[in-house]
Amino acid sequence: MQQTELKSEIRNQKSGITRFLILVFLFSIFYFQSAMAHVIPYDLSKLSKADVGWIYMKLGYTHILPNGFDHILFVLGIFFLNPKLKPVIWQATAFTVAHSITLGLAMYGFIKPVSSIVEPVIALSIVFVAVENILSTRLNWWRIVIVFCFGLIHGCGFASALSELGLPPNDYLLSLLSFNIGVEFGQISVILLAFILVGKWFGEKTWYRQRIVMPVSLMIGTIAMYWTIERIFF
Amino acid sequence: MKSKYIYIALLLVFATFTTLIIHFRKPDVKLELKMRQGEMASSSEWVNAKSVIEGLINEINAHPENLKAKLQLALGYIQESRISGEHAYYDATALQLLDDVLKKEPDNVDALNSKATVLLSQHHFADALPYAKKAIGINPYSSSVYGIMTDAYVELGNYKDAVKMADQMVNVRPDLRSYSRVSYLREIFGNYPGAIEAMKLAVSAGYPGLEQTAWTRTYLGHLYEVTGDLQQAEMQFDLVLAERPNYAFALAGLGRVEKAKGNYPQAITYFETAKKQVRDFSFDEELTELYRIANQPKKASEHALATIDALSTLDGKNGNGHGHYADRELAYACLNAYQYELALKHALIEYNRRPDNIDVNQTLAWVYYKLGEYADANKYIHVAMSTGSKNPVLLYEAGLIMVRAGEREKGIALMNESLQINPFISPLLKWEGNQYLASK
Repeated sequence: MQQTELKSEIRNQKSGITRFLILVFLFSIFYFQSAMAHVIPYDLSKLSKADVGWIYMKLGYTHILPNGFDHILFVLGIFFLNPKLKPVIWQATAFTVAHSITLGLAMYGFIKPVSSIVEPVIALSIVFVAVENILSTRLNWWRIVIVFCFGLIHGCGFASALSELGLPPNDYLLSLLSFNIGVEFGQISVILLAFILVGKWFGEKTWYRQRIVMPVSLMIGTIAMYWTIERIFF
Repeated sequence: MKSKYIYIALLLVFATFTTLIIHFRKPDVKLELKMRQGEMASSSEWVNAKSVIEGLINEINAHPENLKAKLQLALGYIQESRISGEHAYYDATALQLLDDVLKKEPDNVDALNSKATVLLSQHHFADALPYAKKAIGINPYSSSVYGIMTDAYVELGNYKDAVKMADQMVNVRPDLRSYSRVSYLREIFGNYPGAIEAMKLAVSAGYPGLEQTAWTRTYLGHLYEVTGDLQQAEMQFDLVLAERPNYAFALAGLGRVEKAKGNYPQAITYFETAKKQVRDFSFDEELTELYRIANQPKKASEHALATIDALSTLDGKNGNGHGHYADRELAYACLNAYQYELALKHALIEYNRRPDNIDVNQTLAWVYYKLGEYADANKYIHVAMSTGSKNPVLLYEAGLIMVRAGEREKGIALMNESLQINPFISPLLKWEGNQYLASK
C-alpha cells in the first residue's frame, strides 16, 4: 500500500514537473516574442557623460535581464553543468571577452553581421550547450574555447540590438563600453541568482545531475531548438 | 576519451547545422513588382514602368552579375516607392541592390546618390550624409546630390548648411528640384511669399504630367492652403488632378480644403480615396482627426490604434518592415490615441536622433503640453521657433504652450498671429485655445 502511494506520489511529482516545464516553455516563447524593444526615453544631448554612461549601462543590463531570454538561457546552460562559481566565472569571462571583440568590431563597422545568420546560430549555440550538458558528465577545458567562440557570435547579436538603439556620436566609445559593462552585470546577476537558488543548495547532491541538469537542459535545448527553427523559417 | 568523441560529434553536428542555416537563411529580399492600386493601375505610365521593371528583374535573375541592371532596377524601385507609398518593400530591396553595386564599384556616383536617397526615405538622415559627401567628392557638378545634402541637413536641423547646399544646387542647375528646395527653406525661415514664388518657379520648370511636377504643384497648393488662400489652393489641387486623375496627395489637399470649409463628410471621402491609392500615414492622422470632428469617436479611436499598429511594423523588427524610423509619426499617432506616455517615448527617441530639427522639437513640445508638463513644452517650443518659421500650427501650439507656461501675453499674440496667417487651422486646436481663453 505504502509502495503504491509512493509510486503515485512520484508520478504526481513527475507530472507536476512536466506541467511546470511546459508552462515555463510556453511562457518563455510568449515572453520572448512580446518583450519590448529598448528605447531611450531621455534627451541625451542635455545629459552629462556620467548620465549617458549610466543610461547605456542600464540598457546593457536590461538587454540581458529581463529582455535577453536567449542570452539568459545560454548563461544558465553554462552554469548548470558545473554549478560552482569559479568555473562558471571563467567561462563567463571567456564569453565576455569574445562578445566584446565582435561587438566593438561591428559597432565600428569593421564587420557587418548578417542577422538572418547570427540569430539562428545564437539559438543553435544554446542547443549545443544544452545537449552537451545532457551528454557530458563533467566540465572539460575545451568548453572554455567553445564558449569563447559562441561569445563571438553573441557579440554580433548584441551589436544588432545596440545599432537599433543608436549611440550618441559625441559619447560613442563611452556608451559602447557602458552597454558592454551593463551586459556583463546582467550575466553576473543571472549566474549569482542561479547559484543562490540552485547551485548553493543542490550542486553537491548526488541526484543533482539526474533531477536538475537533465530536465533543465532538456527544456533549454527544446526552447532553443524552437527558436532555431523559428529564426530560420519564420 | 569518450567525452572527446562526444565533443567532436557535437561540433560536427553544430557545423553542419550552421552550414544549413547559411544555406537556407531567409532571403533578404525577393525581386518583384508590387501591383499599383486604384486609378494608378490603369495609367499608361504604369504599363511602361511595369514592362521596364519586369524586364530588369528577368535580366538580374538570369545574370546576377549585371550591375547596370541592378542600379537601374534600384532607381525604378525608388520611383515606385514614391508613387505607390510601398516604402516597406521597395526601399529595402533598392538598398540591397545598391549595396551589391557599391561592393563591386564603391565609387559609382549614381549608386552613392541612390543609396543616400533611399536612406533619406527611410528617415536615416545622418546615415545618408556620408554617401552624399562621397558622391560630391567624386562629382561636384551633380545637382541631385546637393539636393540630397540639403534634405539631410534640413532634417538634421543644420539649416545653415542646408541653405549653402540649396544655393549650390541652384547654381549648378536651376530646375524644379532646386527651386522647390529653395521654397522649402524659405518656408522654414518664415518667408511664405518667397516660398510661394520659388515653388511657382519650380512648377513652371517641371514637365507637365510627370509625378514630380504633380508633387511640386501639390506643394504649391499646400503653401496657399497654410496661408489661408483656400481658393488658390483648391485651384492648384484641381490642376494636378486634371493632369493626374486621383493623384493621392492632391486628393488629400482637397480633403484639407473641405475640412477647412467645415465640409467634414466630403473631406473624409477625399482622404479615404487618397488612402486607397497610396500608403501615407499623414492621411491616417488627418482621418483620425476628421472622424473625431465629425462626431465619430469610436471610428476615430479604432483608426488611431490601427495607425499605431501599422507604423509599428515599419521599424523592421518583426521581419515585415524595412528599418524605417517612424517615431515622430508614431508620437502623433499615440497622441491621437490618447497614449501620451508612449507618445513621449517615441518623441524622445526621434529627438535623440536629431535634436536640432525644428519639427522634432515641435513634436516633443506638443507631447509635453499634452502631458501637462508646460515648462518642458516651453523649452522645446522655443527651439522649434528658432528659425522664425511662421507655420500657423506651430504658432498656435506655441501660443497655447506659452500661456500655460506663464507667458500669457506672448502666447495670445502668437495665437492671434497664427489665425491671421491662416484662419482655417485645425478646429480641435482652435477649440483648445478657445477653451483656455474662455476659462480666464
